[in-house]
Amino acid sequence: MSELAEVQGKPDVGKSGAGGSALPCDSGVLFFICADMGMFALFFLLFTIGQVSDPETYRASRAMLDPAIGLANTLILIVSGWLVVRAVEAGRAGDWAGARLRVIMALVIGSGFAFLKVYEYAHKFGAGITPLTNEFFTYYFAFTGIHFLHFAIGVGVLLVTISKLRKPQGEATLAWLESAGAYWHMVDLLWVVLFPLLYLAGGVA
Amino acid sequence: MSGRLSSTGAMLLLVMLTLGAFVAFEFEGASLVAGLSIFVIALAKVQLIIEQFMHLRWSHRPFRQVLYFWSTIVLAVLCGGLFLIPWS
Repeated sequence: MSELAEVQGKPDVGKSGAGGSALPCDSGVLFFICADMGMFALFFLLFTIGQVSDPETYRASRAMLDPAIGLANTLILIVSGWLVVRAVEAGRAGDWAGARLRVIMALVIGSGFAFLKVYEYAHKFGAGITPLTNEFFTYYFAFTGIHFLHFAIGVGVLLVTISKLRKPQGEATLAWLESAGAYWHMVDLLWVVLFPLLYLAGGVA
Repeated sequence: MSGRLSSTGAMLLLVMLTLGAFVAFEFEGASLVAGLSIFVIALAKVQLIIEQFMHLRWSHRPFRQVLYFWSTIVLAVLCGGLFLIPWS
């Protein structure tokens, strides 16, 4: 199927773009997402090099993490991301109240991620584990900390989105909603790689 | 890779893949096969998010290809790293 036919086959996607190159959100936001993901790709490469250099330390350190918390955070972000997708779908259908309700639900469920992350950090510091403990935990705190910063920015963006959806202004509000959604999905996407990298794959001692 | 799913179907598939990776870790956590399986599942989840959540399946080809390239390279590096560490 040609790309244009695919776009036509999904009529509620990318209305504002030109021809077959219609975008589901602002192109600047997509550029930012690509650049940010490039930065995280370098992080993943650094981690892999470190793990190859000293696998036993990485395995022993990974055994000190609680994968159930990582699992819960993954599920929270997936469900929250799905609610944002549903909000965008409602916005495209002109159901602004429905879109706003779904963004609020995404934010409420997504806040569970922050709660668990703070709990996890507090538990680690309480056990005397800090970024200086070893290289694994340096990367663990750096990567999850930077990801958490992205999450916090995403929360701010969703709060602004809720405010904008209170008095929607047609295409402009829809464009904001779509771009906010794309950013929130990036937070989800990065965690989908961070979770197996830090908690699961590579083995535990 | 996933054809046309509803957003709810995509979410349920993502949840099942996540649970599958966790089960692989719980039962075979300290093996190369488990590690590779977990990363392959992560790749599938990344593709699902790009296509079904970000809606890039139906949109601008360059951005879509950049994100596919990113996920392929990242997962290749991560899986390649697993081959370079000793497994008992």
